[in-house]
Amino acid sequence: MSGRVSAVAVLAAAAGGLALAWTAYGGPSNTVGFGTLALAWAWCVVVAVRAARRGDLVRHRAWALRAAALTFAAVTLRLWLPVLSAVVGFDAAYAGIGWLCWVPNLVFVEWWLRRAPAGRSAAQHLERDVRREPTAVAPD
Amino acid sequence: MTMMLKTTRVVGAVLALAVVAYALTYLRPGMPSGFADQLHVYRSRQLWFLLHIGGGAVALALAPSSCGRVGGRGCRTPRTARSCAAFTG
Repeated sequence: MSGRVSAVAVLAAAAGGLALAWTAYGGPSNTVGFGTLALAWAWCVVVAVRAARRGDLVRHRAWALRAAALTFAAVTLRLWLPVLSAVVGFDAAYAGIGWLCWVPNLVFVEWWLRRAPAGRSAAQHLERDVRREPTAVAPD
Repeated sequence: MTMMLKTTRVVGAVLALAVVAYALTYLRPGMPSGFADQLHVYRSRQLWFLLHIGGGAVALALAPSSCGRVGGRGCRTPRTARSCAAFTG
């Protein structure tokens, strides 16, 4: 249930984000940055939902993780801003925040999905989990 | 094309776009006016603003408990397994 509510919430928030991106403070950098974030956010959720509906939970989890990383942009924006403002000033910091708030998050998740502790990537790890407990996803 | 190469290209394209957009911000004449003016913009777009903030808050609150949770538990707990079964079934 939380996944469905989350998906609807993300699509609504992404639509709002896309509409607001055109007037984003910081100029074209943030217009394109926040706009791309909104599109990527919606895309990740759509792919995650489609994968879940097909029963492909490995793919679903990977895309849901990417969506969660983009959701977390709201938090990282507020972590980056005071730090960068102290270094380069508010305007210069804010002009780059439209990208800094989400690109590192996404890069981190991509690394996490591909890391290979003890010769096994996170994606393989997730796949093993699904195979080990097939009854967990069987319809009621 | 391997997944790694695809990812590298996507990340490269995003970074290139970011650099170009950031550069354009400083090449265009005059920076945007003060941040206080931005609040007026948000007031004039209240519906979109509320949709964005409201949806984002719900998504942020639910992200840790959804199927794709970090740590990979997801559908393995009884409660989320029922949810996933309903979703995929």
